[in-house]
Amino acid sequence: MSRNLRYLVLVPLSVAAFYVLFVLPDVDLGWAGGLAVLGGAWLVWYLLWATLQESTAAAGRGESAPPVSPGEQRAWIGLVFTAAIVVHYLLRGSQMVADDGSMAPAASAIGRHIGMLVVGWLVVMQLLRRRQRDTVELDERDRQIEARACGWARVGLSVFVIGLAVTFAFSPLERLAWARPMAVANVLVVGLMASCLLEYLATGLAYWRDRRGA
Amino acid sequence: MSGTPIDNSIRKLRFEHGEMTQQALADACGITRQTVIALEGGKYAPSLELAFRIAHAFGVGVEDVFRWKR
Repeated sequence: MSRNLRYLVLVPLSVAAFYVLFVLPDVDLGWAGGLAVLGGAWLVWYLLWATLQESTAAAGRGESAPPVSPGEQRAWIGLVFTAAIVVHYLLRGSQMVADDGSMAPAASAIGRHIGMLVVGWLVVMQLLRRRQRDTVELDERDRQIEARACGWARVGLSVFVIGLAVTFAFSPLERLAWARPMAVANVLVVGLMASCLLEYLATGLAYWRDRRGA
Repeated sequence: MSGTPIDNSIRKLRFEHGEMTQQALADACGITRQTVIALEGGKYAPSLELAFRIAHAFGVGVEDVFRWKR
């Protein structure tokens, strides 16, 4: 199967797998059904990952083709996983808050999903590190790009915190009825994750811009 | 990263040194091949330490590799 066709099949399947596993409400499918859904989703993501790796390797062949650096790969992978976590929070975060503002029973399942994404991220990073163990992973240019991206993330986080502080300070109390402990906790986590997202995006774009003009 | 005011002869020196590959130069200097590409494309100005390492890899002086663009 050609690489383009594989992308055409695997990208929608990956999104669908994410939707089934993380967005749809939990349905008890029994251990066999649950295992099949989980295994199927991870298989689709693995195939997409393998196809991406193949494209990266093909792009790196020859002197003229600018390959994707380890730092850029780390940035795009981080962006995908952080975006998945933020989207998951945005879609299901409200289900974590009970009517009295405390933690709802659904919160533990949602937390488990997020934990699963983080574990998946760590596994992918470990695989990537193993593949690149014989090459230089990080040099002074990578550190410079990371430092700039970190600056963007710091600005984003500062804007978010100031915006939240201003909202709490100047909004009438009746408009802050949503601000219960669990809801505020969710907002803070989303803000933090969004700043990470911004950092990975700025890093990825800096590499991409350099590569495009090479 | 935008263009830098420092010009270099890395590409020319690589070819003069037995058509040294970008990867070989990167390995000799402890940097990634992408950084060599960025340097050759004038998109990155190296630190003084890296400039010396590159010059050392070619066995020439720093001023033979890097020049200030006028």
